Amino acid sequence: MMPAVLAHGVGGRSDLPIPEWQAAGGAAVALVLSFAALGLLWHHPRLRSMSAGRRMAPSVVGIAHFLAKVLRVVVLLVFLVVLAAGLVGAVDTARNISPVSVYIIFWVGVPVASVLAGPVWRAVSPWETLGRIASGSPGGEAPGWLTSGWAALVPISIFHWLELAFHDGASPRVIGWLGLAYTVGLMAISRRWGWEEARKAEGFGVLFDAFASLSPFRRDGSGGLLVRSPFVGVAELASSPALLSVLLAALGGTAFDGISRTSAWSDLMAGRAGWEATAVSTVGLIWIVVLVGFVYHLACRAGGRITGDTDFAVRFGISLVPILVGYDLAHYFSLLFLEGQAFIALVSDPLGRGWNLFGTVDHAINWTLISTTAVGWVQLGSIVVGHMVAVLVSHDRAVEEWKPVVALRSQYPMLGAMVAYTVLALFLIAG
Amino acid sequence: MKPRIKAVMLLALATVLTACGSDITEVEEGQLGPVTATTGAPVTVDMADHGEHEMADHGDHDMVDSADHEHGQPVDLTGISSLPGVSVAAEPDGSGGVMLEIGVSDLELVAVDPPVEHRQGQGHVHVAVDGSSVAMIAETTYHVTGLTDGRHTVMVTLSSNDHRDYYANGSAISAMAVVEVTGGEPALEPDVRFEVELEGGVIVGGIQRFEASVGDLVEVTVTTDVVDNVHLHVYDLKVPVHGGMPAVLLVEVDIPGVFEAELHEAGFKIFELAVS
Repeated sequence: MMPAVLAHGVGGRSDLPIPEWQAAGGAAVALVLSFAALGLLWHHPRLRSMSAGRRMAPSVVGIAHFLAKVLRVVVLLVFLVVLAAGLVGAVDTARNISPVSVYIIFWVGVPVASVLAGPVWRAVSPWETLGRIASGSPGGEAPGWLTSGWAALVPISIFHWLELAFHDGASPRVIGWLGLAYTVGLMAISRRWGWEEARKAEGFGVLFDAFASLSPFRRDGSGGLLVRSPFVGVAELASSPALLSVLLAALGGTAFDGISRTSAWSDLMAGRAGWEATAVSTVGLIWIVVLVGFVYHLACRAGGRITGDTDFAVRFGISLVPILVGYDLAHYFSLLFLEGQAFIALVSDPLGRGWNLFGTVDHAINWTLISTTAVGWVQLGSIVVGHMVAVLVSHDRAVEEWKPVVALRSQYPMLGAMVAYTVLALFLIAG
Repeated sequence: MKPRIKAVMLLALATVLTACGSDITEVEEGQLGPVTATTGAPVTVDMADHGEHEMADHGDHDMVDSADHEHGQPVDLTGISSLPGVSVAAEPDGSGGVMLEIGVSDLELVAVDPPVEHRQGQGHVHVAVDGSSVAMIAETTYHVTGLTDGRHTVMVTLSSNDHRDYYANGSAISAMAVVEVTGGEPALEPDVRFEVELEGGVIVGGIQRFEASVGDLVEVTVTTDVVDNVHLHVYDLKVPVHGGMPAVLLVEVDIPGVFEAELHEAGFKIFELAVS
């Protein structure tokens, strides 16, 4: 099996390179211009006050809560079916619902839903549902690896490796057993230290909650719903070293996915299969994650020198959220809307037993649902907008801490990193 | 293109992916559960319907999609005492068709419509022309119709009741015949032609990306010194290749994107087809 194909769980098709690769130059210019405009016009922090939001009518909140309840049950059922399919369903990737569900619906669909509708994963996640049931009375102090949030890095790293490097990552059995192990592990932690602590080890929830901060909707502590401008909410996201590393790992993973589709990488992988391919891809994946992290570290070290701030990297970690969402959309938008359609047929025969539960087993993938032009624009737009939001968020953070002049100077190295990321990202989708 | 068939194509793609990565192992009975026709698509081929189609059009997938019979792991029969065998003789009928005489030994032929469970010693024959499946039959004669003039490759493979290939000693139990067809429709001229050559398992000139436009009839010729199958993803063409005979993939491309083609058994990519 092709590692590059496996990378997408189901695949074999990838997007055409965007024709305007000069777009990279244009995007860099757009970033620098927006940076300059912010420097001239944005002297006071505004995002935190903007992200508070307007309270929504109780009737709307009621409908939302009802929907969440229904969806929680539906998602739990789908989760159990996907897990069962992974463990005992057909071993054939195409006839088992688990690969498409995990690599497309869950890994691409939930982030998109989170950015659009807010903390949906928190509302419907099966681990949230089961974890609360399993939750024991907190006995004793939870250990540091849990309270600090570092545990979240474990599932995120393993998932990226499975998706992007392991040659058999789309195998239903691999998905089933690892899914079960993860669930059992989370439940054990929840039993021991309570779900409030265990949630910090649910890396996907941590990541999706971060994505949800970009959404125009947010919840307050008492279950009310508030609406605000899109993107601004990320300013309120609590940053931590653990969250920063989760974001950098995900960012590096997506960058590696882009690199693995280039012809240079194809040549490197030529003739390699199985564990040999896994080994080469693993080295490549680690390399790119380290590289992406290193660029961020350099920018923050320079920024820290300018401001004398020792907490610079963590403080600006939130600016990685819109970048990551932009990359994810650019890479996986078409996967969700094209290959993701396979879910509709598979839901009628999740285990590959010849069933037709909902009569949708013959549902065909419409390969022309979105045009290649539309895909190209979404790719370009999401990367550029992601980086512009990142520049805005960092700038707002900076003027919160320092006088405008220092704030602007503190962001020069970050701007350099952003331009480097953007050009690299667009260079990658330009193939 | 029929929508249902498109869905089956994707399934077939992922099916083949799994097959590509998996070692050929003895499949325990019951472990896989009953494997019946994917997505409920009919398993048998309507001969009349079939005859209406241009064979050269196999990019259109209006013929039987191979998804129906490319399930999971093959059934390895290596080492059993009475190993089944298959042979094929192909005689052009002079009017765009080919009569097949298929010889099957040590295998009870069982019709598979309606689906039946896997049983050792039973099975049927999968017939493919130029890499695309045209029929699954339990008879020893078959009339392929609607071919274009020129050379065509007919491949017959022994299959279990649940449509997994019977394997022995590392390869499918199959037989192949090459025929010169006359009296059919004139062969269509491809809009673009590409060539890939492998020497000693190495792609000469590295992995190339071939470019074509939507609607083009694309021909890719793959020459290699190993015995294998060339598989083009999503379009789901699978064409046998060996030292004496290059694989010729002929497909009318109608889905935009970049598609990978791999050497099936070896499990690595050999070219990319970019359709825009």
